[in-house]
Amino acid sequence: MKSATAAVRPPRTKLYVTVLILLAFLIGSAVQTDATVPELIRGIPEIARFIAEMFPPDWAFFQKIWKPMAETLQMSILGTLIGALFAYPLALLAARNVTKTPWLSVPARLIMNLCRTIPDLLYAALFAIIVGFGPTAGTLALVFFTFGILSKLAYESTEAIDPGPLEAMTAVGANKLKWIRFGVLPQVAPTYLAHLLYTFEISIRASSILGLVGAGGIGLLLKNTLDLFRYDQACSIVIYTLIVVIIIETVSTRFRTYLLKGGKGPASPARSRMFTILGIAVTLALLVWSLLGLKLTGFQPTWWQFTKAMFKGLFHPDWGYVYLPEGEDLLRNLLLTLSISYLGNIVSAIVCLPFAFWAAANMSRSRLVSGSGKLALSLVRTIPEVIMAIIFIKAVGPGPYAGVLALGLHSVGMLGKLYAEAIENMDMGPVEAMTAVGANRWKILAFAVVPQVIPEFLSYALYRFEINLRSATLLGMIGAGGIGTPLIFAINGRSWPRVGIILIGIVVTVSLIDYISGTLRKKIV
Amino acid sequence: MIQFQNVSKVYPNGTIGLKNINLTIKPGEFVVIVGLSGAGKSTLLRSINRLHEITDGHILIDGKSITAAKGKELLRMRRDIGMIFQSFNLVKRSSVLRNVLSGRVGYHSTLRMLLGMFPQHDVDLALKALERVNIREKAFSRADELSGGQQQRVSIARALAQEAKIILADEPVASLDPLTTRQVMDDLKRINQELGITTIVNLHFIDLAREYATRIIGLRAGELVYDGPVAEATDEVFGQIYGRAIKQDELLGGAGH
Ligand SMILES: Nc1ncnc2c1ncn2[C@@H]1O[C@H](COP(=O)(O)OP(=O)(O)OP(=O)(O)O)[C@@H](O)[C@H]1O
Ligand SMILES: [Mg+2]
Repeated sequence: MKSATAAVRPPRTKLYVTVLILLAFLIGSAVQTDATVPELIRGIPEIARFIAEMFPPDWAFFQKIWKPMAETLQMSILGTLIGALFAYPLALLAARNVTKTPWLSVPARLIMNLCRTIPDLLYAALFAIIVGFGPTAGTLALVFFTFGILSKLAYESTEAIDPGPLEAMTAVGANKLKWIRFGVLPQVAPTYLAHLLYTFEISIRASSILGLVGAGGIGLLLKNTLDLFRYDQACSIVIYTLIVVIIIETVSTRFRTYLLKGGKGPASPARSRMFTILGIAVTLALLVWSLLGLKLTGFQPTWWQFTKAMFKGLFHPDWGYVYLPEGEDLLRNLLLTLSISYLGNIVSAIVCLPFAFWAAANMSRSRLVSGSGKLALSLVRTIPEVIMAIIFIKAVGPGPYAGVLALGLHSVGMLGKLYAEAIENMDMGPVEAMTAVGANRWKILAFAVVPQVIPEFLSYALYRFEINLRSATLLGMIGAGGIGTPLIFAINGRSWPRVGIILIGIVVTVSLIDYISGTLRKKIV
Repeated sequence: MIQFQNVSKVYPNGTIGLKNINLTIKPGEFVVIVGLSGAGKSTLLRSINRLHEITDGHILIDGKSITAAKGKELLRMRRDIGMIFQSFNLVKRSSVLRNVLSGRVGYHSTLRMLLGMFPQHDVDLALKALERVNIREKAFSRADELSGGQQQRVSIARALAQEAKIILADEPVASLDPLTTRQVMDDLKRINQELGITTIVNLHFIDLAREYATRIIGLRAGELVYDGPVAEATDEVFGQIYGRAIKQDELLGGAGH
């Protein structure tokens, strides 16, 4: 049967309009951030010189490193444990299947999300003012930071539990606490523990950079060596830190997989009791070590006044700063931050393409090829964006352009990994079909691979944009341009109304972008 | 004309895929290959366009060895051989037309294809191919909006747009229901008769093989155990190919009749 009306090609205006908008954004961002190709080329010799001065690293510097390194670990242990103490109860309060009363669960979720929008460096800078420079500020910053992450993770896994046991407990007539103890906790305990370990891993990474804004730990030492132009020492700090971070992450990941997937065969009750006791003992030992090691003094007698002044300022934001005719106002700085993240995003989305195809196992014959690609990506991933920002600030000078480069390069590691996975997960059938048709490598790529992976690539790029925006606010605090720069000035100058309005600006922008990006991502996949 | 000369294939793990096959398939034939699962039907078919490499012997296409062909020459030879897969192997997110046009990539430069610029002649050709399999009106739909049978017809159209002289079909109807099975087989048969395209099909169902083939080839453990016209392929012959009596599930049944 033939249809009477011949099918017509659907119009592609939507596609063209989208591409045009994206291009306009790109040009606008490049203008805003002064990021041009000649500028980049001018910076290359500087980057090369900086890197040359980093090598060979000053290995002997280790003697001075281990103490602040220990402090870094202690801060994250203490911070994560205290954070967890608050995070789990809040997660239970926020979970709609546990807390049936909305006037409890809605505020709980609000607190949770609010804590999560504020980046770690910002917490550190705030607490450095309130309680003075040093590890106390760092620990407090990590308490809030880990609280934000952990409560969210725990909340999500709590909402996903099997309702069966809950109904059973209700039927038995248990009161609320017993209901949680016997219906909820047994189900979530392993996940909660796995999340705790994961949060600890993240907190160590955070902990090692907090010193850059005066909150103790290895970051402080890093800042000092950089200020003294001892790049060889800075390099050894970075290397040692990365080694410690990677060792801890590897061990922790092992435990996490064990917790989530279980070991080989069921563990005997005696064994699992032994593990529990061992785990508690180790945790307690670490806690004692942290409490004894950290000099948690530094609480200045004026801290309460500071806090009061801060809150007063935060609740009376400086609305006049939103728009100033002469420039350098909130809106323009936010726009700059958006531009930095957008450009960084585009840079990484393009740079990571060859890496992704290199690392994808189904794009090369030998595992050796894809394995080396994966290794290269994970190396890029391990170097924190803050460190990259410092390198680029030295190279192209402080400002938004350094931020773009740092974000761009750092995201290559993450995005490249996600892209490689998308390629590995695609249907190989069309590739086979195109081979049979007589297509060469490039044609196979264009007709069988690209059309399949494009939606995933777009979705991951959008997701990365959400993360980049958060990082961009943070990078400004160490001099990489955008809203972070006036923010750190306002914090150091204790002009709290200004801090208040900037925070509002950040929270609104981040939430807005999250919402838009989330909606778009749902449409794409 | 396709010639197999002492063709053998041993997989890297030692499994024997094909054992000393000698065959000649003449232009315009409709050949159906039958055999138990694992007999080597797919291996035979895929060695013709070298999706699988053989380990011994030669395969000649119109007198030219595809086994010895390298680089561009191999691509050029593949251009003349269309292939149809059990799982269709279409890009599901792309439009039907684009999937059909992808059969034309062998005719144009890499740069031109990276830009996706097909000449109008190709588009006309693709639309005509779709018309031949009765789904012209679906040209601008996304491939995954089509039913299984329609998707398989798109992949037939792809082979047509390719202007292939040979069509290889590896169990083209294995994932279709009996009714669409016949539509797809009818399409293949019609194309074979109207355009004279040499067609080689792997089939599981004995009654389908009998109905559509002009010639039947039987494989067993990589060896050629039967090669002859349909008329001579009696139940006993099939019993020999299969090494046992024919089972009911090897018949499609009378659906569509
Ligand atoms: N990549 C491979 N590596 C090793 N052995 C293989 C490989 N592919 C196929 N074989 C083996 O080669 C033999 C022939 O396989 P082939 O796929 O050609 O069979 P077939 O007749 O198409 O079977 P089916 O009807 O199940 O599709 C089988 O024994 C199979 O296990
Ligand atoms: Mg097969």
